[in-house]
Amino acid sequence: MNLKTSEIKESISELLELPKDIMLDLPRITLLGNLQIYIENHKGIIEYSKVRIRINTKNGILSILGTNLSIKTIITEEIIISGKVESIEFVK
Amino acid sequence: MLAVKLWNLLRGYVVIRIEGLSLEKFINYAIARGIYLWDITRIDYTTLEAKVGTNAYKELRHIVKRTGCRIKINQKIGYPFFMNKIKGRKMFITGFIFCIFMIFMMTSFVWNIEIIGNEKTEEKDIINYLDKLGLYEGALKYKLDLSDIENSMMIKLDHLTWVGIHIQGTKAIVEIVEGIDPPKIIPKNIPCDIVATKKGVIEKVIARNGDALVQRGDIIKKGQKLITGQIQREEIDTRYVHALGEIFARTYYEKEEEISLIDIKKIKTGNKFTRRIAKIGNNQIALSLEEIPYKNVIIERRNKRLLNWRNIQIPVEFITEEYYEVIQKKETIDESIAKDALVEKITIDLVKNIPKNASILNQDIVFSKKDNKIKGKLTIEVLEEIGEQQKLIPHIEFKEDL
Repeated sequence: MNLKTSEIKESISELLELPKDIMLDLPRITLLGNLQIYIENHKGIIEYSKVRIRINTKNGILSILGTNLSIKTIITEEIIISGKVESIEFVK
Repeated sequence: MLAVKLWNLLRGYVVIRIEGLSLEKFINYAIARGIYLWDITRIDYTTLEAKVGTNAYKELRHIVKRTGCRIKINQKIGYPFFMNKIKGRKMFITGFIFCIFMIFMMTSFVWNIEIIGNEKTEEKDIINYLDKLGLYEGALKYKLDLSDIENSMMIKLDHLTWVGIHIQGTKAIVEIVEGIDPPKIIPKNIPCDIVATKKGVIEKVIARNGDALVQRGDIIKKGQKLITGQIQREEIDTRYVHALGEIFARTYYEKEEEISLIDIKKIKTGNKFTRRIAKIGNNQIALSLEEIPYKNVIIERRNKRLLNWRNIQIPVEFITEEYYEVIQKKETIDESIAKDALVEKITIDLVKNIPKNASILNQDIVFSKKDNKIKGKLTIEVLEEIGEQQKLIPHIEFKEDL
């Protein structure tokens, strides 16, 4: 049922050319080289250390690996992470 | 971003250390409560460092209770904390305020007067006069009415065409433009003579008033009387008049110059040698010690100074000298080209000396050649007015008075 509604939502947003991140409540991730990551619409931090940060989002856990990672800013809507980013992946 | 930082500094913030096991939970709770945390860094597994505003810090207490963490303030940064610290150091504050006040005081006086543009007038006279008007070393600069001083300077010293005063810091810069004195005109009721301003041969004499002393063809010297205002006739007393008239004479302008027929041209071979020198004050320190490997060189110098801040010059300079190797090549110039160049050069020099209203009658050039050098002598014959009025001092008048 839930899967079906999201499918309908996706097709509607495609049809009306609406931004998908708003329709589907997805995180918007912006990378600035390998220096900074900007994540909008997150659902909280799960793990935080200098080499690994895991962030909860709507479609899974976003895991960031790197060195010297630190959280520049964190508010309800967005996180800015700086440091040397090596990899980003979604873990289901 | 800068605005946010400044705002934080103004409001004050604390650097806190959070110790505990569920630090992620702590962060999530903080976000949920709308507490703004920034620059969060992990120190080790159980400690976290973060920055938080002073007001938000109080709210963190509830979260601390819930998560079972411990909070310690590491550093207090910002205006409110700074003020607290300062409160205990009254003497320091007095000293600081006194210092600022002193700087303000000392810069509100004129400490230096600079005069620019005076060629004929003595600097001392101008300074003396400025002193009387209230612009002196040590005058309070807010009290000065500059436009008033400028105006009275203009009125009093009438040979000035323009006076501009502006104050730059503690220095008053007085700019002066001196006018050219108008030619001396002798009033019509005062007797005078007309004398020659330069030597020449008389071409035309028009005496409107007074007796002409010279004729056409006469050779005259500088300062010689041409028309006299002293009129002597037989059986009549000597009269003195204001001599008037125009005298045209042929005058000569001469100039000699020489030019070499051999021109040495320097051609760069493409080889270059660079030397760097550091200059501190007046001392030069060569940074590269090698000898210059070429015989004939063209030197190009470039200076690099450290940035100047306002009027302060840092006396450190870096000089890069580039030595380009050259081959000297002798070239013989064609004689006629050399002569043309010579004539042109002398003519330009000579014409500068000739008054504008004179007409050129003749010009003559004589060349002579002597070991690869050509010498030229140009003579220009000019027709110009050479009369000038000069006051006549009657010396017989005393007798009549007696």
